[in-house]
Amino acid sequence: MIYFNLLLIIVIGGAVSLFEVPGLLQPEKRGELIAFSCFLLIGMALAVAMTLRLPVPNPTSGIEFVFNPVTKLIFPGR
Amino acid sequence: MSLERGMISSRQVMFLVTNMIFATEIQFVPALLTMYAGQDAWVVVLIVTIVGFLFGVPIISLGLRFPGKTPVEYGMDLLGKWGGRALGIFLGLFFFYVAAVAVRELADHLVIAVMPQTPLVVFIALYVFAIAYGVYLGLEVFARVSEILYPVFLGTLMLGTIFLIPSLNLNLLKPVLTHSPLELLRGSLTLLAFYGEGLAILFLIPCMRRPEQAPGLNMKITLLLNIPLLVMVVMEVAMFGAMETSRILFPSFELVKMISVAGFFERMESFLLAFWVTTVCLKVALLYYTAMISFARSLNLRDYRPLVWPGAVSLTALAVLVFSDVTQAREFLARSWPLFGLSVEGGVPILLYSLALLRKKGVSWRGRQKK
Amino acid sequence: MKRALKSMSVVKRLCLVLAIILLPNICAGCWDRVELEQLAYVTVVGIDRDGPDGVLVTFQCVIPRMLARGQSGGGGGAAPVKPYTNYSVKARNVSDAVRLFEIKQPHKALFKTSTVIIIGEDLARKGVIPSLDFFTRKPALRRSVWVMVAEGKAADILLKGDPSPEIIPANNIRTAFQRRQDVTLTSSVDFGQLLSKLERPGVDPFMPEIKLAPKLSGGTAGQGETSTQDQQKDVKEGEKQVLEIVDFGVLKLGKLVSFLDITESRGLLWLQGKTNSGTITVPARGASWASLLVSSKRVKITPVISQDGFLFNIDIRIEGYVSSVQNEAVDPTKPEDLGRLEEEGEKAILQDVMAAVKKSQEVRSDFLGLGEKIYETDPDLWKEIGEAWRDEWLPNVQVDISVNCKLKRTGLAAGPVQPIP
Repeated sequence: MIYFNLLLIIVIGGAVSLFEVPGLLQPEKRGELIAFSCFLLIGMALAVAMTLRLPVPNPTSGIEFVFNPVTKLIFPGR
Repeated sequence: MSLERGMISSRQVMFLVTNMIFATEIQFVPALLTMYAGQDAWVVVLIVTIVGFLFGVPIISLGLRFPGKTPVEYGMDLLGKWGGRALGIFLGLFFFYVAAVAVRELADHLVIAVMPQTPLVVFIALYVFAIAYGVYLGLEVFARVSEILYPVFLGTLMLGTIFLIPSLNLNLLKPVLTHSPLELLRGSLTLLAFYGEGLAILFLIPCMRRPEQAPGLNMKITLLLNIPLLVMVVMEVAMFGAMETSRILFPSFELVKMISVAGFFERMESFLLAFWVTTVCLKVALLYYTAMISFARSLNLRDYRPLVWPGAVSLTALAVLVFSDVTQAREFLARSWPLFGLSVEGGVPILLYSLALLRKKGVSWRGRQKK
Repeated sequence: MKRALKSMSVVKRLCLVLAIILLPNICAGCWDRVELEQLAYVTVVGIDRDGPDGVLVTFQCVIPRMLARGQSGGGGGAAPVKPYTNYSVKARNVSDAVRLFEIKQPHKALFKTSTVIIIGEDLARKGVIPSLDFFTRKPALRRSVWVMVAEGKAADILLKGDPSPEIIPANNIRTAFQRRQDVTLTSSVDFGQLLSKLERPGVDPFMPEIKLAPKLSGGTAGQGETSTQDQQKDVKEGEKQVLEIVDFGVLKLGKLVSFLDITESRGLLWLQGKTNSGTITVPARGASWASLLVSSKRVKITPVISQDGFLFNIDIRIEGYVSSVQNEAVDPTKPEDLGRLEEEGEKAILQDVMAAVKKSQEVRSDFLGLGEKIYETDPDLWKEIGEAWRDEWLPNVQVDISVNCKLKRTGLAAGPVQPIP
C-alpha cells in the first residue's frame, strides 16, 4: 500500500510538472521556474515523508509550545 | 503594477471576506463561546461587533494609503527590501497555515459526522484540487462564485432556523450576565481571532475596481457576520442549553438537524453540509490565493500561477499533518489559536500602519480626496 | 471552443483527457457507500440492566420485505407475518451491544430510522447517563429522538408489545404518543431536551413512562373502564398486551427515583404549559359532572426569596370550553353557571399542581424546575444553596398557586337539552 501511495505522489508530481514546466522554459521566467521547483520539492518531500511514516514535526504543536506561557495565563487549562 | 489583473467590485470583496470568516466561525465559535461565557455568549458577540468594527478601521485605511499595492510591496517601502520580503514570506506562511487548518477542520467534520469510513486524506486531496483549480483561474472567478453562493447559503440557513423558533426555550438564556469580565474576554479573544482572518482584505483592496468604496466595508462586513452569528448562538443556547452547546463538537450542525416542520420538512443538514463544503472551499481559495500572492511578491515573481499546483501538494500534506486528532484541533482552537491568530492579525497591520504614520509614507485616503 | 482547443498545448490536452478519464472513477464509489439491502433498520432501542455492570440491549428492526407483503395481504384475514424482529444482546455497554448485534445478524445497524429509546426501570434507577453517552456521539442519531422509561423491563415491552392496529410497534408508539400529547395525558421528551435538563442547574428531567397493560382495560384515565369491541378475540390471545404510554418517570441527578401517578403527571403538564385540549371533569350542580376541554395559555413561576425560605408564586392561566354538562340545571350560557364551572376547573387544576409539588418534595427531585427559577433570578445565591437544594431546601419551599380558568366557548350548543313536559 505504501508503494502504491508513493507511486501516486510521484505521478501527481509528474503531472504537475508536465502541466507547468513547458510554459516556464523561457529565460525571462527563470525565477518562476526556480520557485516552482522549490515549492514542488518541499511538497513532495513532505508527502513522501508522511507516507513513509517518518517523524514529521507537527506545526501546531510548535505554535502551542511557543504560546504556552501566555496561553496558561489567559486560558488556564480546564 | 499589480500581479493580479482581475478587478473586483466592493460587493464582491464584502461577500468574499464575510464568507471567509463565517464559513469556519459558524462551525466552531458557538461551542467555544459557550465554553467560556456560558449562556452569556451573545454578549460576547455584541462586544465583538463593536470591537471588530473598530478593528477594521486601521486595516482599511492602511490598504487605502497605498493604492494598487499589496502589503508585501508597501512592506518593502516601510521595512526595507529584505524586511518587506521577510514579512511577505511570514504572511504567506500564516495564510497557508490557516488555509490548511480550515481544510482539515472541514475534512474532520465530514469524517466524523457524515462518512466515518472514508480516509481523511481523500477528502483533503479532492478538496485541495478543486481549490487550487479555482485559484489558478484567478481572483475574479471565486469572487463571483462567492457573490452568488454566499447570500443563498445565508438565506437558507436563516430561513431554516425560523422553523426552530417554536421549539426554543428562551429561559435557558437566563440568568443574564453572570460571567466575569475575564470569561467574557476569553470568549471575545476567541471570536476576534476568527474575525481577524479578515486581514486578507489587505490583499483585495489593490484589486478593487473602485477603492473609494472600501471605507464602509468594515461596517457592512461586521454586521453581515455578526447578526447571523448572534441568531445562531442564541438559538443554540435556547435549544440545547449552554452546557450542552459547549459539549457538542458542531452545534450549528446539530441545530439544523433539529429542524422538522410538520414531520416532512426535515433532514436539512444535508443542505447545510453542501453549503459548508462550498463556503469553506471559497474561504480556503481566498486564503490560498493570499498566501500565493504573498510568496510571489516576496520572491519577486511576475505571476503567482506557477506556484499554485506545487503549493497544493504542500497544502494537502500540511492539512493532514496539522492536527494529530480532533482533540488537539479543539484544544488549539480554544486556547492557542486566539493568541497566535490575534498576534499576527493585529500585530502586522498595527506595525505597518504605525510605521506608515511615523515615516509619513503613503497618502491617507482623506488627504488624497482633498487634492 | 474549437479555437480554444487548438491553442491548447499537447500537454494541457493530455491533462484534460486524463482528468476526464479519472474524474468518473471518483464519482463511482466511496468508502461510505451503503447498500439498502444490507442495513438493519433499527426503529426502537431498549436498554436494560443486566447484572451489576452489564446492559441488555434490545434492537427492534423492521424487515422492509415483510412490510410490503404485510400490506398487500393484510386484508385477507390470514395471520400476517410480523414485519419486525427483535434482537436482544447482552453486553458491557451500548456500543459493545451494537457490535455484538452486528455479529449476530449480517446487516449493519442503521440508527437514522430510530424513533424511540426506551430505558428499563432497573437501569434508569442506576443512572441513565452512562448508557446514553453512546447516542450523543453517534452521528446518525438526531437529538429529536424520543426517550422513554419503561415500567419493568424495556425488553419485555419490545418483545410482548402488540403493535395493532399498526403493524410496527414503533409506529404504534409514535401515533399513540402524538395522540396522547394532544389530549394531555403525556408529553414527549426528546433526547436533546433530556440532555439539556441534565446539564442545567436546578432542574431534573422527566421522561414519559411506557408500560404493558392487559388489553381488556384499554382505558388510561383510571377514572373509568372502557372495553374494546373485540373482547372475545383478545381473550384467546391472552398473553398479548397493549402498549400504554401514560404518566412520567422522574429523575434525580440522572437517576430514576419515582413514577408519577395520573394526577401528578397532569400537574406537571399544567406547570410545563404543555397542555393542549386536556379534558378535566369537574362536579357540576347536584350529583352530576361537567367536562371542560382546556389548554394552558401562560404559566409564570416567580420565586420570592426571604429570610424564612423560599416561596414560589405560581400563576397559571387556562383557556378552554365546555365539552359536556350532564345536568339540565346547569346552563353554560348563564354567566353565573359558567363562572361556577370555571371555579371548579380552577380547583381541579390546583389540586393537580399541588399533588405534583408534593411529589417533588417527597422524592426530592426538582422535576418542576423550581430551583432553576432561583438560579435564573439570583445566580449568586444558587452557588451557595445549589448543592443542598434538593435534599434540604426543596422539601420546605412554600408554593402559592393561583389558577385562572377562562371558558370562552360552549361547544356547538348553547344551553343544555331541556325536556319539555
